[in-house]
Amino acid sequence: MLKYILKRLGLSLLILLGVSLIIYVLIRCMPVDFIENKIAAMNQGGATIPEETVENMKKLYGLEDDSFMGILRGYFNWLVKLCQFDFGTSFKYGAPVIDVIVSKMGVSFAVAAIATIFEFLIAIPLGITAATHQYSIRDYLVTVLVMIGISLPSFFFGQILKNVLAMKLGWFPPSGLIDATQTLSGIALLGDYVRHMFIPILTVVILSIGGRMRMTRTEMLEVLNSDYIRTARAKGLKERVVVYKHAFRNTLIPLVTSLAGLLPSLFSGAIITEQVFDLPGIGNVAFKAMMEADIPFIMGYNMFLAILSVLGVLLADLMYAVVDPRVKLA
Amino acid sequence: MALLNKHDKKKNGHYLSGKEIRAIAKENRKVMNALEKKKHRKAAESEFISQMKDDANILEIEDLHTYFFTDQGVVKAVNGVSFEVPKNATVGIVGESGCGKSVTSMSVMRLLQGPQGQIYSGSIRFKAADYQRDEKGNPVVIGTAEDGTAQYATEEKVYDIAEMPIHEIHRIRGRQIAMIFQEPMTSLNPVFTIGEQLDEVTFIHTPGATKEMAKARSLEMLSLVGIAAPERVYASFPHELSGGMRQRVMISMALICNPRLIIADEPTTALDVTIQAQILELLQDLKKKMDGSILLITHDLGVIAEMADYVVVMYAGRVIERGTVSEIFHDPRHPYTIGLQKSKPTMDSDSDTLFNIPGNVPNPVNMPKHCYFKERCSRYTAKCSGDYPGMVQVSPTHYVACHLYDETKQGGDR
Repeated sequence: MLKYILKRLGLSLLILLGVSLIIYVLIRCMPVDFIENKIAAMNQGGATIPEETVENMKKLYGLEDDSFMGILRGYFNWLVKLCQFDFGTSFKYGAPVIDVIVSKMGVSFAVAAIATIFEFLIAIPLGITAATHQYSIRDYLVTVLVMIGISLPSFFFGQILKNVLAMKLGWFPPSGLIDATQTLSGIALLGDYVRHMFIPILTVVILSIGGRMRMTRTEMLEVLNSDYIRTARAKGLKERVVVYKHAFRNTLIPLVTSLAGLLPSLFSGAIITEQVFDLPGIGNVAFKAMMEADIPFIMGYNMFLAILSVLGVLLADLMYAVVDPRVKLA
Repeated sequence: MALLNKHDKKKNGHYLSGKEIRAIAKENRKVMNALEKKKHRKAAESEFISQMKDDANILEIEDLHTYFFTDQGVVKAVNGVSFEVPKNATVGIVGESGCGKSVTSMSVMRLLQGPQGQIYSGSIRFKAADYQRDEKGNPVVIGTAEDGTAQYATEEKVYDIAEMPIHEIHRIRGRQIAMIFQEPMTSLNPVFTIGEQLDEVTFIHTPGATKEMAKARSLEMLSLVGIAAPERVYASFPHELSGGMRQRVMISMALICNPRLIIADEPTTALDVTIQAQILELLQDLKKKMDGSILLITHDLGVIAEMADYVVVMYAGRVIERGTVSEIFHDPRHPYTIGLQKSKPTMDSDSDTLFNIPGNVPNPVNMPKHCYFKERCSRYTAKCSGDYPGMVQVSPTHYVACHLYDETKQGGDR
């Protein structure tokens, strides 16, 4: 087992190396340039910046050579720094990339984690009832409702919820994370966070239930039609035990592995939802960094996600062995 | 498009227009909903308590109709089947694929896949030895065994399984009637150990069963079915066992509660020939040891000849002939049974080709009014285009449904 994990981690290192090279080259090829944006902004302010200064600034940021070899050199510089555990300093935020990520991650993680918990709590029972009552009114109703959920784009549905719950009814604040008009602490502060995060979480939950529910329903139906479920019924087990013990335990196999695959999405932040509700989460920050070609931050953020993805896949494979006795890792 | 449909329909009788499909679906929904409601109703015990016709029988199936409501129409998979299983006897059901053998057994266990599969009418009377219950429905204790567990009074009750609401069926399943399926490879739950799956049966059916009791019983049954290392198999997962071993486990699972009737639905079909022989030998052996009956479903006449006391021959959802094993093998009456006997390979024939009955089973959706075997029969007469033949008694135990023997009935054999 330990040998298997070590082997997989070694392989992951190679994958991450490839991923980082591709991301770096892609970012350098983006038609946005941090320096040029900055100069343009300065020029608009009325100042004229001499060409020499621009060249110097580019050199300072390591962006002077846009040829292929120049990009590769930039990549190796980044890599060497990384080997000293230095992700670089964000152009835009002027702080170490790691610090920015860590400081913004909390909000995104809270939203994603709470939303994921609710997603599973709601979607799995819905999927099971839809499967056990296949082709009944209940099945059709659940399926239609969640399909509506899947089909709505988050910027549209989030905006509607915001309009109704925050603007019209005034139950929740429309955006931000804290109430700027008062200073709160302790329980009151926590309550304020919850009030601010409610609509974003609601949006994410409603939009994500559909996929999970469809998956549970399909898996459950397949399991319920299998021979061993017939055996379980023939033993004299009550239908409840057949469904929730014998069938559900088998449905759990794909479900648990998909849970491990969720790892990156827990930390990546919901870029669009965070925009709509102006939450200071990591998705929001990453979006702004992307717009301004903040190379160190984009590299740091994407590598962070890549590491989580690789770990998530490894975790999924390990989970397989835990929930399915037929799987042996070697 | 409508024109095309009409045209197609003329050429092919199975083609349905949209209008017809909607009419079928509407009608199906009506009947299925009524039957589902009946299946899930709350009923007092008196509603499904019945009386045996002959006290020597353990199972009496009378005029059973099991239908599948499909989008193409109603498939009458079992269409008026009647036969009985006497106490301590082995009854074999034979017939080709799709003749309703398995559906009959599924009806007895009430394992039909709803809402499409339903018992439409008929009765399945079963003499059960159920726990005696007081007014509150708790089993009556009559004493304690040596190991300190309570012992319960049992009483004989005749249930009409076809009338039972589905939530009462656990009185029968597993404890009174156990079933062995044809696919041992997929019939065990892959995520639980053999031990967990065997113990479960004891837990369901024995009030106050302890873990040790269940394990002891499971191990006892595993050794009974000839497993050499019961402890090891007990701790294994199904995928760690071979097909023959898994079928032995299935048999031991069926035996745990000392059922009065074991339904073996093609128990050897999925196994290779040497293992087949072992499993059959095991079943023979167990039949001597246990005090119960076996309902054996197979399309292998050799298996029937070796195992069964009585034989029921089915064709297209109906019983066409039944009798003792010697009557069916030495004096087959129905042309279909005779054809089946002829198509069996024998050691002493030098012929290169086997006999086969020409034609196929008719489309199950639109069954004709006349005898279903007419088109394939080598001996059909003008009478065969008339009504479906009734059951004719040719000896005290031998019945056949064929117009060839109608005179026998008039001759006063009955």
